[in-house]
Amino acid sequence: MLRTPTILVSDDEPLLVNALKREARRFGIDVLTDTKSNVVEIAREHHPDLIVLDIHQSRDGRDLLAELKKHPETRDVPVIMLSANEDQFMRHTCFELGAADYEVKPFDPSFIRKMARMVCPFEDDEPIFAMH
Amino acid sequence: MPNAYQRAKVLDGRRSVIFASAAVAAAASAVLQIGIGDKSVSGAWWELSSLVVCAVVAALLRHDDVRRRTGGLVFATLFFVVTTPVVALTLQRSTDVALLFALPLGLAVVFIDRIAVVGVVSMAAIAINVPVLMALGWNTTDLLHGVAVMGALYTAGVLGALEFKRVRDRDDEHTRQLQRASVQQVEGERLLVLGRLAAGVAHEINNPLAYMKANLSFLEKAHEALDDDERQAWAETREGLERVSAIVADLKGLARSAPSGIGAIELEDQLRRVARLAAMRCSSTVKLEIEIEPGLPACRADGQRLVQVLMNLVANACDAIEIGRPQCARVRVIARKAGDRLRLEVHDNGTGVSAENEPRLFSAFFTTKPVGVGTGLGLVLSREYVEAFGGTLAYERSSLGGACFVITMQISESDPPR
Repeated sequence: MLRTPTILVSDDEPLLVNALKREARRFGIDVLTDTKSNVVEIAREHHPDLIVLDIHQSRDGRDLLAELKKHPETRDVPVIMLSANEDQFMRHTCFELGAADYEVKPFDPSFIRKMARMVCPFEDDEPIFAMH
Repeated sequence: MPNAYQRAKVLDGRRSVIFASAAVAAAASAVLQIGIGDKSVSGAWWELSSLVVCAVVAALLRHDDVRRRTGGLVFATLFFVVTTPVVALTLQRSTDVALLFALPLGLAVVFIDRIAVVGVVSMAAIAINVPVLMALGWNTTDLLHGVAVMGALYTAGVLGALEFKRVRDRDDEHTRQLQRASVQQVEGERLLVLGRLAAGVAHEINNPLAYMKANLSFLEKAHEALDDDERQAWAETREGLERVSAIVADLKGLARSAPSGIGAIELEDQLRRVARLAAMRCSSTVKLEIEIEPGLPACRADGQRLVQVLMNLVANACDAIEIGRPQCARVRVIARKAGDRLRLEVHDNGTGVSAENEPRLFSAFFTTKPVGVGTGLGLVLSREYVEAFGGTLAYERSSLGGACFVITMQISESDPPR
């Protein structure tokens, strides 16, 4: 049985989390959400295929990234870092800590496709509407 | 730092005290000599004329006009250089002869900041005093002694003036360095605050922008087959969000203290950024016009710094207009080629700059704005930023009636694009 791809979105802005969830579901992707910086615990329990992690939340996203990369259950999950500021130093630090990508808000709509392709590659550019 | 005008006025004020004291001394000498019967009133002509000359020069040295003050000093010098030998010849008293030797020291004190005058007057004094001493019957040996003493005194005067100049130049440089450090510290603190504010604003605005854009994309896809009006409404909404994103990026860029690096800059891109930012700064009554000569080559500049400088000039123009309140408020930015350089002009029809303030425009901490509004650092730093990439910044009267600030820059030939 094919497992539905899952993305874990961690951001303290619930409206942004909802928007990403809505977009991801168009591609048939399940979305787990975290608005309280509990991303490590949720990831260890649910084993998502991709984590989208905001840097500026109640716990620094870089610390959370370092913790994710420490645990064997979450070490190999790709992590896309989100930030409201284009900061070269921060970008470099995130890649050094093992981030797969670094995106600056407000992100381009193509970011949603990029996110979806990382968990469920698809041929054409049209969204795959969710079965549920 | 006091400018040359202020410094000269302070020194002339002190010279005024010296001449006033000399007038009092001349008056006391005249009264004493006439009182004890040593001289008649006509006999004390030198003391009485010295009193008048010193009193007049002391008054002239208090005047604001530097030409009157200089005229007074030159007149006093000529008076004493000419009359002192005459007195020595006619009266032949040792005290009067001693004045011939004391004259250079007195001149050195009076002209301590004008070394050329000390040198010239010393040479002239030797040329006059040697024949006077010969006429007084001094023999060769005494004459040589006299010239040696005069030479020593004049040399002391010139060396004193040189040392004064050296100390003053060193103090000026020290003051300039302190002022530069102070300017940089104030600017650094301002940028630190701005930077933190910009980072905070960016975070607060970029978050809602992110989900607005995502939701807009979602809604567009969910409601396809729209008519032209609806498609246009979606497009305009998306454009509005892009504009807000650009403004936030521009604000962050403006607050960033680090320069972007010198390279080839397309002026049209930078002027568009300035127009977006200026729309927030200028009130709705100010008409901002931007004219770019077609086919303008790239200029050699630091784009980040250039935008900061232009924003400062546009902000000053808006402030001048708010004070002057012309009927049709205009700020015009013109970019054109002038010979082998590019020229950026920022015109306004505000109050302009008075002739009195013009020499001080680019002085640190000089401002005509109310306390708390202007720091007096904008133009100083703007000029520094422009000169750092080989440009110039100057002021002219504007054809619009207000002020015009002109930036000239080198045309970029081989710089990498920035």
